[in-house]
Amino acid sequence: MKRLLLFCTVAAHAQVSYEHLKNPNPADWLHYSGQYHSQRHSLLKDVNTATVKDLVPAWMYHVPNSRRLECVPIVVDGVMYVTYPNFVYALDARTGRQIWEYQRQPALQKGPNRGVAVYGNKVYFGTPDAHLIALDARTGSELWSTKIAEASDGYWSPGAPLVIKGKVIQGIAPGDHGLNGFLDAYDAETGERLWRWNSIPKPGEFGNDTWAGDSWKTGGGNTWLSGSYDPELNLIYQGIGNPAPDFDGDVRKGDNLYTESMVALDADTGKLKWYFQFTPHDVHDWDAVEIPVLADAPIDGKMRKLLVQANRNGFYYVLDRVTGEFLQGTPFIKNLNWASGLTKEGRPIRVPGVVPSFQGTKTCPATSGATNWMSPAFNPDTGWFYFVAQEGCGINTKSGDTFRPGGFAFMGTGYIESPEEPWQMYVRALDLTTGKLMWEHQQVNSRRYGAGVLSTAGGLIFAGDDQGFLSALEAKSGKVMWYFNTGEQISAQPITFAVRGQQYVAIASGSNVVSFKLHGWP
Amino acid sequence: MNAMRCAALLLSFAAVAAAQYRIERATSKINIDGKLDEPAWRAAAPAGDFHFNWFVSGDKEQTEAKLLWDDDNLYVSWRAADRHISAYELKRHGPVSKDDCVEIFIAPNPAKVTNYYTFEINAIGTMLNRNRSYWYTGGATWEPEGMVYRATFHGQDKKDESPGDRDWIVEAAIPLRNFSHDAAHTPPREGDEWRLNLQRLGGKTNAQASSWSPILPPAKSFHTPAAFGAVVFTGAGGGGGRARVRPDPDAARAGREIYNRFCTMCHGLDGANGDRAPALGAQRRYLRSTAGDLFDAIKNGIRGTNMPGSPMPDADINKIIAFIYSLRATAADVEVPGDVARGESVFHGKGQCASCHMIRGRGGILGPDLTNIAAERKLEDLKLALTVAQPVPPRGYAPVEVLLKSGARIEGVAKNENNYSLQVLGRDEKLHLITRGEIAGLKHGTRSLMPVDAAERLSKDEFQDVVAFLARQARRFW
Repeated sequence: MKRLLLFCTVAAHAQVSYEHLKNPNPADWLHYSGQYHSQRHSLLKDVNTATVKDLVPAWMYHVPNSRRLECVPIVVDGVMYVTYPNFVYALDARTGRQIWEYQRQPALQKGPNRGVAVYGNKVYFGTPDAHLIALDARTGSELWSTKIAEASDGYWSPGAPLVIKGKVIQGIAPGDHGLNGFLDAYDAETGERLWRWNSIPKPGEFGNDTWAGDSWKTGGGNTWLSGSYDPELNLIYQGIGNPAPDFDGDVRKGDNLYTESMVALDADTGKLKWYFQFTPHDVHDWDAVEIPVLADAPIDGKMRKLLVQANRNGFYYVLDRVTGEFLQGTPFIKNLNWASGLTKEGRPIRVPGVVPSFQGTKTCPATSGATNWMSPAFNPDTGWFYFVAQEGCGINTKSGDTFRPGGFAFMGTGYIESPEEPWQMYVRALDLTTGKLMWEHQQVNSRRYGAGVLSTAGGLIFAGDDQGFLSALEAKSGKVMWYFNTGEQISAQPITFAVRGQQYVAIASGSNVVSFKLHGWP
Repeated sequence: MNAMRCAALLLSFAAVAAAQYRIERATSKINIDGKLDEPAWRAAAPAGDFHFNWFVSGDKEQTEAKLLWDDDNLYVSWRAADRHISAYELKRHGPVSKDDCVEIFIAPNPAKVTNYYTFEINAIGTMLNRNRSYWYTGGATWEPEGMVYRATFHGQDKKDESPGDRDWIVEAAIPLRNFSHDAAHTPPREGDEWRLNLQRLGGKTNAQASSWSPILPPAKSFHTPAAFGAVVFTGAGGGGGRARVRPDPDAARAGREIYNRFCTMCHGLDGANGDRAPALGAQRRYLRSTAGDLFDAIKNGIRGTNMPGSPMPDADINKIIAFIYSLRATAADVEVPGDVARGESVFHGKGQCASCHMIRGRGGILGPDLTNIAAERKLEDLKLALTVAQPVPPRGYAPVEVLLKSGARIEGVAKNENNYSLQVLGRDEKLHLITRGEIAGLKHGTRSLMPVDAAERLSKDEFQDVVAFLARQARRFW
C-alpha cells in the first residue's frame, strides 16, 4: 500500500534525502547501479514475462552532436538526468521533452561521461577537465564547481558520483597515463574536499614496498567507475584500475598495490578497512573496477555478507564484505590461459610465459577483458548473478615506454584481437555463491563491450548489445522474450522506472536515449 | 657543406619526414571567439604532435593545431599547453616571437614553396605578417585582407606568467583571397595541395620552439619552406587528419641495408622481431610513431629500455626511418615487378578472380570490391590472401547455408547476422533477407570462399603479374 501511494505521488520536485538514497522508491532510479548494493534489480513488475511482448517505444531523446553515450539515466520523481561529456540534460521522463540543458565551458573533449548523482536539490557530475560540479536540479544552474585534479596533467573524471550521507564520492581517470589514482569525498553543500584516499601508497605507507624503486610515482590505479556502499557497515567498495605502464611489468616489479584490487573504505574518513588484490602485478591491463555487487547469502549453511565481482581477468570472485576474506573463485570463461587456478587465498596461480612479449603472446581473455565496465545484476528471486562476458583472446605485446607528464599514454605497448580466437559476447547467469553457469545467451556477432544488464521483479533480464539491439531475456532460462533495434551500438546500461504508475524501460544507445512502455496509446 | 649537397639532403629528409594533413571543409559556422567549441572544430582531426627540432632541455609542451576551410576562409586553431604564459608585444608587426606565440607559414603553390605568407600571433593577440613571395614589393611586412582572429588573452595590455597557467588558444579565419596570387584556385578545389608549417615558440620561462612538420638538421630556422608539410583540401567528412606517409624507395633501400647491419643485434632482420627488441614491421604501436619520434629514439636511445643511442650520421638515421616507414607501406606505395596489363587479363580470365571480385565496376559481387585494395593492404598481405587460408572468414563474407521452412535452400555469404535476422548475399547474386523464425536449418562455413591455390593454378609469371595488377589498384591520394 505504501509503495502504491509513492507511485501515485508526483510532487513538483521532492528533495532526495539520504533515506531515499538508502531505500529508493522503486519508481525512481537514483544511483548508477540502481541502489547502494549495485544489484541493478528493480521491484517494478508491470513489465514481466507475460506482458513484455507489448513493450513498445514511448519516446526517443537525441543528444545533439553526441556519439556513443555511456551514461546511465538517473530518474527522480519523473525527471530524468542524462549526460554527455560537458553536458547534462534534464528531461520529462514521461515524454522525453527537455526541461533544461547545462553545458560546461570551456569544454575539453574527453569522454565518456557515465551519469549524474542526485542529493537534496542538486545534481552532481564529473567533467572532462577533472572537476566535480553541482547543479540546481530544477534549473541546471551551476551551484559550485570543485577541481578534483589537474586536467593539464591528463586527469579527467568520467564516472558517476555516489552520494553518501552528504558526501559526494568521486573517482578519477585514466589508468593508462601513469597518473596515480584516488577516491575523494566532497561536501555535498559546498564542494569542499573532506577526504582523499590514494590508491598508490607513498613511501612509508603500507604497500609502497610492492613497487620497485620509484615506479610507484607513475603507478596508475584509477577509479573510473562507480563503486558500491553498505550503509550498515558504512563501507564504500571501490574497484581499482590497472598499474602503469600497462603491459611492461619489468619496470615495476612487485605486487603493485592497490592496483587491480577491491578496497573497502570507511565512508566517514576514507580510511582503508580491507583490500583484496585480484591480479597482483598485472601486465594485461585488467582493471578491477567492475561493479562490485553486494548481496547476502548462505555459504556452508551460514548467512554471509558477500561482495561478488566478475573480474576482467576471467575469474568470478566471492568475498566476505565485512573482512575482505576470499571465499570462492571460479573462471567464468571457457578460454582462460594465463592462470591455472586460484590459491585458497584467492591469488592467481600463473601459467609461466603468458606475459606480453616483443613477439606478441596469446592471452585469454584479451585485454578488453572477460568482462569490463558493462554493469552486472543480481536477481534475489533466482539467486543468480547476471553479466556480460567476452570469450576470445588477444595478442599482447610490450616494449619500453617513457612516462611523459601532460596526459600521454604510458602503456608499454598494447594488444590486438587474436586472429584465431575472435571475440564474442555472451549474457551469462551464474549461481551467486558457487559461480556455476546456469545459462548463457550468445549475442550473435557482438564483440565490442559496453552494454550491460538490468534485472527486474518481472522475471526479466534486459541486455543491450553492440548490434544496437535491446533484448529482454527470461531470468530463469535466458530465453529471448522481446527485442528492439535501437539503430546504434549500445554502450550503456539499461534502467527501469515508473511515472504515474506507468513502468518504463530506458537505455542510452549511440546518440539517443530510448524509452519503452507497455502498449502505445495513450 | 656546399649548397647543392645541403639542398639534396634536405629534400631527402622532407621525403621521409614531412608532415601531411587533409583539411576538411567546415561542417558548421565558425565564430572566431578564441574558444574552439563549434561542432566543426570538435570534429576536426588534430594535425598531430609538434616536433622539437632543436631541443636542448626543459619541458616539451605540446600544441594541438587544427585546420578547416570553406569558400571564404582558411581556419586555423592552436591550443598550446603552457605552464608559463607571457606576452608583452603590443605593436602591430612587432617582434611577437619573443612572447608566447604561434605561427603559420603558408605556401599555396606546392611547386613554388619559396612563395610563402607568414602569420605570427602572440598570446595577447598582437600579429606580425610577412609576404615572402618573389613578386611582393610591399616591404618587410604585409597586410592580409579581412583577417579575423582571437587569442585567449586578446586585448590585455600584457600577460605575465601566473601559477594558474595551463594553456592558451588562438583561433583565426584567413580569407582565401589573400592567396589568389599563388593558389591554383580561389577558393581551392577539393584535392588541391598546399604546403605549410605550423609553429610554436617564445616565452620567458621554459621557452618553446616546435613545429608541426619536422625541420631536421642542419636547417636551423622555421623559414625552411622545403620542410613545410603537405595539406590537401577535402570535402566535409573527407577523412581529415594525417594522411599516409609515402616512403622514398631509394632511401628505404639504403636504410634497409644500414638497419640489417646495425640494428639486428636486438631487432630482427628486415623489421621482424628479434630476441631482445620488438618487430618494427608489425602492425603495432611503434608504427604510429612520427618520424621525429623515431629520429629521437635512434639518435638518443629510449630511456628505461635497452635501446641505445646511435652515433651514426643523421643522414643514415633518416634512411633507417625511411626503411621503417616502408615496412608499413601499402602495396600502392612500393615497386612491384610484373606486367600490370597481363595481370589484368589474368584477373578477368584464367585467374577467375573477377567471378567474385569487382574492380572499377567490372566483376562479381560475392567477394570484396578490390578497386582500392592496394591503398588498404600491404603487398605481403595481397600475396598471402592468394595463397594462405585465413583462420576465420572476414566479417560480411562468412559463408552460410540456410534451409528455409519453405523448403528453399540458400547458399552464399552473410552480409550481416545477429540473434534475430540474417542478410545473405546468395551465390545467385541476389539478396535474401531472412528472419530467424523463417529458418529451418543454418550452417556456417568455417573457411572463407576465397580460394588460396592461385600459386598452383597460375604460372609463376601469371601470379606475379596479377600481384602487380592488384598492387596498382588504388584511388590514390597522391
